[in-house]
Amino acid sequence: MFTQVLVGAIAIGSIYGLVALGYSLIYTASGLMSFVQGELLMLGSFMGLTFYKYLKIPFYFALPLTMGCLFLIGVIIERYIIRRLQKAKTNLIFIVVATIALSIILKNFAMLAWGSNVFQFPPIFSVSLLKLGKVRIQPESIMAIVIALLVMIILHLFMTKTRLGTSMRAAAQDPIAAKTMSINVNRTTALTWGIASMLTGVGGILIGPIYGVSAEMGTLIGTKGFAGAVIGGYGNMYGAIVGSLLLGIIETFMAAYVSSMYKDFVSFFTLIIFLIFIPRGLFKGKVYGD
Amino acid sequence: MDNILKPKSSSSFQIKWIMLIILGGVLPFIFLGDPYVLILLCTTEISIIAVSGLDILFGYCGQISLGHAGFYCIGAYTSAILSRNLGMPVFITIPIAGFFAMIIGILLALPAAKLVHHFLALVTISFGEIIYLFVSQARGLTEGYTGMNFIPRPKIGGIIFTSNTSYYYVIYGILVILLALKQNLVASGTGRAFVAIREDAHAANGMGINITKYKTMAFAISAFYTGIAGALYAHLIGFISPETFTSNQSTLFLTMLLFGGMGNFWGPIIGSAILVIITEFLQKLGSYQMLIYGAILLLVIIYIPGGISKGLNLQLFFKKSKRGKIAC
Amino acid sequence: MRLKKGLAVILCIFAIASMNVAAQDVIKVGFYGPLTGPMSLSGIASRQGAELAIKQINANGGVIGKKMVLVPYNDNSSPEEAVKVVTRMITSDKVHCIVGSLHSGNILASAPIVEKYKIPEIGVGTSPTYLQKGYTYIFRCLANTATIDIQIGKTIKELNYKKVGALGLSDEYGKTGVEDVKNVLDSYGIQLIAEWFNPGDTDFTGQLTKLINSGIEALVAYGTDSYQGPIVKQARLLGFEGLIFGPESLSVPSVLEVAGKYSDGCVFGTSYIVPSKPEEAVDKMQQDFFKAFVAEFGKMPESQTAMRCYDAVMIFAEAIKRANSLNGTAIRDQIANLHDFRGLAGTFDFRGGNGEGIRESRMFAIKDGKYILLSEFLKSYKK
Repeated sequence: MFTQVLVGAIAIGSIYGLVALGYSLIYTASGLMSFVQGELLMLGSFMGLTFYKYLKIPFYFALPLTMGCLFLIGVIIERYIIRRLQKAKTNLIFIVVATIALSIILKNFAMLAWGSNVFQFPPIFSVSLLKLGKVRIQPESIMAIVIALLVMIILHLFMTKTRLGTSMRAAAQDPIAAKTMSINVNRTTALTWGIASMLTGVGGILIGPIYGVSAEMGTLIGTKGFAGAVIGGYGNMYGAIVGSLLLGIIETFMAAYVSSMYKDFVSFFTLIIFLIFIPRGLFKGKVYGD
Repeated sequence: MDNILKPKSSSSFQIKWIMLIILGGVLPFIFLGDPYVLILLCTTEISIIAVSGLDILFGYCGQISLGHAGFYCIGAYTSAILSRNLGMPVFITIPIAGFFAMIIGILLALPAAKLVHHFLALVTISFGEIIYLFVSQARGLTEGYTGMNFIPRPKIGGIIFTSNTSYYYVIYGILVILLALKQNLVASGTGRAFVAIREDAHAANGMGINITKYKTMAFAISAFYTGIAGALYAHLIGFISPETFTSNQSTLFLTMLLFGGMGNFWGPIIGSAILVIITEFLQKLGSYQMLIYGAILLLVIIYIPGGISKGLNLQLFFKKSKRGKIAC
Repeated sequence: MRLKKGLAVILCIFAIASMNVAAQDVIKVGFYGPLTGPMSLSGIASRQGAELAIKQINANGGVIGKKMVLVPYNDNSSPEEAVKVVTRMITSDKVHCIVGSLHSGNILASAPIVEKYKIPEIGVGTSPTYLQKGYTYIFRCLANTATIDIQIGKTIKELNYKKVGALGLSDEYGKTGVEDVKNVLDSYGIQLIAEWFNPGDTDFTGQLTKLINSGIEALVAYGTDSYQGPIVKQARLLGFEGLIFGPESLSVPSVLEVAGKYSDGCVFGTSYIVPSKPEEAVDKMQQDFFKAFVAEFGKMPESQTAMRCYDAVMIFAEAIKRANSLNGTAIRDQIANLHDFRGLAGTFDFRGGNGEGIRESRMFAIKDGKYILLSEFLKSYKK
């Protein structure tokens, strides 16, 4: 049983990690908390579903296609909504409310477009179950872990080894200095949002085959991803991953070995403990603008 | 930002206030006592109280709260449990509910006063979620997801305020008192300290203002107001269940503040009224209701950044002084 | 500024004007249900069922010479909304009867209003609680979950299981349901281990693993519609091969869609079931209903809730005809004495005094992806 629970925990933790990465990236680049990440995950899931199930596009095309769409959506949100609000010097909290409004729009749009049911992905692999000894694992869970890992590694390489990635980091850390180095801060910010949305979208298309797709799926996962980012250190990319894995493990093991009723309680409680005693998280994220 | 230093002294000014109070008093008659409209009016009044609480914390003191539904919830359940399960008179359980919410507000301020911006927001979100989870799971106390019904209306002597119209006046009385207290608060030294903290906490600290003390006070008072609102809500609908007190409710309060404008007297009033009217209109749209609501919200944020009361400039209608004298 | 103020005033006038009072020569049937939110699919289906019934009645000349008209509202699964819309439909729209929400909590919240204004309401939510509080104007036209729970318990006993697991949604529906089943099983000396999940959860691995490892012989899945499919699928993927019992939420088409071949071995009770084609319906009356539904809306109903509301409207029509009046109390009295009226759920008998119209539920099982009667299933089932 232990291995089974562990695999489930790491799988869900990886998904939280992708969402948390999105949050951290956006926070680092724009100094904002975006509440639309959960719904972007849901959108990614639905898009993946539509491409793979209804348009019969093979999965290995559907995945990057979804990623591309989500990337564009992220850029559009930044360019036409966030940047506009920032230019108008709108109070930060209302920009946050704007992202909440976006999430309401996306969730209800999904409900109207696809319906309020839970939808299923057709099987991606030819075996529906892997049996290793006494342990039964869905291959989709393994795929989720592997692809999430891959994405994170690529992201890390991109951010540290490429010029574009480095200029994104520079712009986030100090926009004015970056501008003097002729880095186009507007462009890098838009890119950051695009990447954040893309990551979350990947999370959606990975988790869809495991648990199903529904318009409601984004809300809870979004919040947990948030918690993961905070636990790991808000604004810190690696912290986001570690924090999320930790959260996934605490949560799933709690439900399996102690009590399933208090699963969510535990997550929020952990979040509050961290906020009170270790607000910078495990990896000392930025306490922005203090 | 707003004129909080001007004393209220002119007689034409006071006449306007009296006109306003009378207007609020006759509203039920304008609508012919229609029970449905009265529910809307009562809901608006309750929202005004709750949002005024949020305004004190956020509009005046600058502390973000995305979890105010937590206080609303505490107020509602406290008053419901005390009045229905323990048989205490409603006019007593409502203030108790407010004070209990205030205590929780002080407890929340312990960690919250040390945090700013996003961390503060996160703590308040977590607070809201934990309160929701608590009332959902504590079945012995709150009946969990089933909800509590048969919550009584208040009564005095032999008179029970069953009709929506009569209950409207109960809330109205409480509303007027609380709003007057709020105006007093913001004009006082405490109010000025709040604004100082909002504008520049470090400078305020340097001037000798005890940040922790005043932030805690802001949380406490804000929680009190919203807790009272929650209690009034429980007795209005007669039924409460955890699903009313989710983060959607917190967002709704914040939205009302946004629509109406923060840090002024009219903001909560206009914001609540507009939102209640909008949501009733959206009823006609059936399944598209929430989608359009989200769209309206987004559009208002983008196109009317200061909130509607700024646009309407109702402030000036009620203040004697000319524009130039408004302190910013 | 003036413009905005003017706009505000116009808005207010609009608001008042839109609450108009219409003529009295139609029969107004109020309806409220979740048209938005996670249960919206069922909510919309339920409204369609009511609309179909009204259309058929009007095509046959209406009732006591008047046409019926539906006055639908969205309660968004919120009790506060329910109170508002029920107040509105009674006091502003002046409805004569109400087809109540799927959401039992909402029926409970608005019950005092219905009782006060003496307007009969037929609820279509399955939780037993709203008929246990002493309201005299509220009824139900389908088997409630308590009835089904008793039958689940009986079936488990007949199969000689000793240890059974339950996975329940920790809301009113799930908690009451699992408790009911537990009480029934306790009286037979059968052990029930319960695990829970919260609204919004999609991952039941932890809970299911725990149950399976403790050696349960059968599982009771007690979630609302959208959770049942995932529960069944995950349980089977984790290696559980026993029967999976559940209330009527296990009868939704999405279980077949989500769990596919894993849904074999599901057992549930329900007053209504939606097959994949009208021809596969259990009796002629249901067949006719499905054919008419497809003709009107283009496809089979998304949820059996459509059938509930269809029956509810038909009952009202019958009661109004017998009362020959639109008076709320007169209609109510007719329903309370109704015992020979046949609907899609079976023959109604409201004479028990507590508002319940159907006392026994049909039991079904899934085999080879099809719904068959439980009695048929058990003939060929080997433990």
